[in-house]
Amino acid sequence: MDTEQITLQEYCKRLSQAVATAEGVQNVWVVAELSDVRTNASGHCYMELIQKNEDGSDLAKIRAVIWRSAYARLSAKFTAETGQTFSTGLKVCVMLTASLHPVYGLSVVIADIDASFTLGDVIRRRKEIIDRLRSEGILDINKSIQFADVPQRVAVISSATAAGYGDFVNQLYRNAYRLRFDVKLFPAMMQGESTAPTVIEALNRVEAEDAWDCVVIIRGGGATSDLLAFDNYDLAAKVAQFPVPVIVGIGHERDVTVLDDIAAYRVKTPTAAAELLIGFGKAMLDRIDSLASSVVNMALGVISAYREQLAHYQSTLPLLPVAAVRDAENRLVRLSSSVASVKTAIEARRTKIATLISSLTLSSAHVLSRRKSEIDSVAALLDALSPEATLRRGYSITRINGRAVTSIDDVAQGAKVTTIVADGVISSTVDSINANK
Amino acid sequence: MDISTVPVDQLSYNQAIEELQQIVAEMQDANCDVDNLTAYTRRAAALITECRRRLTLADDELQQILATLNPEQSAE
Repeated sequence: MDTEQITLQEYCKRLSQAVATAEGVQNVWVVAELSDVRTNASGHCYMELIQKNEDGSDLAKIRAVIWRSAYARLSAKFTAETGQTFSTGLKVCVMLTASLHPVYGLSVVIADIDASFTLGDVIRRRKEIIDRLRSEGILDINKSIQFADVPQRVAVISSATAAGYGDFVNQLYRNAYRLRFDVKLFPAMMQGESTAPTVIEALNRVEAEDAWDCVVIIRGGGATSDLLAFDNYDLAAKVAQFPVPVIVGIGHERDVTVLDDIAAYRVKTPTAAAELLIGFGKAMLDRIDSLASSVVNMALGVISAYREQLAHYQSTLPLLPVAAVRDAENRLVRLSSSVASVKTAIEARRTKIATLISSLTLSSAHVLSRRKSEIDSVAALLDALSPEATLRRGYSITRINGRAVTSIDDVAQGAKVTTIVADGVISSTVDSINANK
Repeated sequence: MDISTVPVDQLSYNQAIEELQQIVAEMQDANCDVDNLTAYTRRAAALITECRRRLTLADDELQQILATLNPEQSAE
């Protein structure tokens, strides 16, 4: 065999050389997703960089490392700029350099991180969720829900072991106003991939109990760990449509999750969540105190008004009989003077009436005698004019068909006529008619 | 206004507050007489007491809850 034989070491040296000098392999910005990120005991940070297909299968995967010497600086810078820890699930843009070690093999080293890429990606993901909730018309539902009553029955979704829950309960129960709160923990995972499903499951249990005025979602204070798990569409949709107000306290100072935009209230820390609830209760206490003092003031006001009235009557009462007697005397004096004037008036009337009576007697006698002689003469005239008197003197009345005959024209020859005389009626037939010459 | 005879503990918190406000308005009315005043004040006091009772904890309740927060202390 003539072919050249080289040592493995030599081969690795050539490979190493090839990698070191290959075009487009050193100091290249590469976009990838972080997976299995862990820091080992010596302070180096190891991870897998992956690229996934649309269906979720791996298209590419490579181990990478950030040496301890760079890690502290790079991760601090990354966290400061993105509000995220450099951790599994993030999309990153990293500067890669490759080298091949004869013993340890290929190593891909991260020399720098472009934090703005990750920040942009996180923001874009949140924006997508928000836009979807908005287009579905559910974005603002929880924010518009009013507390049915005073929020005193508080369902807490948190990790039972988290310091945040203890802080919350301590703060709430040790409130200065002795406000009453009923708190129940609905445990859930507050980090990692199980976060969204377990928090949704806890929300479902709270909803099923139908006994809570509000839900507080909190997680431990202290270390900033990744909040990406909360940027989840299903969880956001659940919170947005939750039937009682949701208070979230899962962010930290400068970062927000999607839930912060959707929940009725957002606070920075569990302690702040407790303070918020105490504030609601305090406002209610203040309102009651103000109503109570209104009632007291009003009652005292009305009572003192009646007291004044009573005092007035008490002070005037002793004077009242004297005044009454004086009034009565005055009235008597006035009355007796008016009685005197009435007497005079009566005398005058009486004289006038007497005069009237006497003149009335005289004049009525006179009038009566005059009326009598008038009547007598009228009677005589009536007598003289009566038909009976005329008939007695020899006149008669001839009638035809009941009408008095006063002209020869009233009768015809042969007509039946009746003639009335003083003592009877004569029936006759007309023989002849002759007009006066 | 007729004064409600519904026991205060059967009212919701908001109902109690609403009734309290009505009573205050009624008492502000110049026609409020002394007989009504007593009844109004008595009812208002009952409502206020009930609202305060619901918002705040009694001494023993407070002690119990604080004891659960510090189990090692309560065990002593």
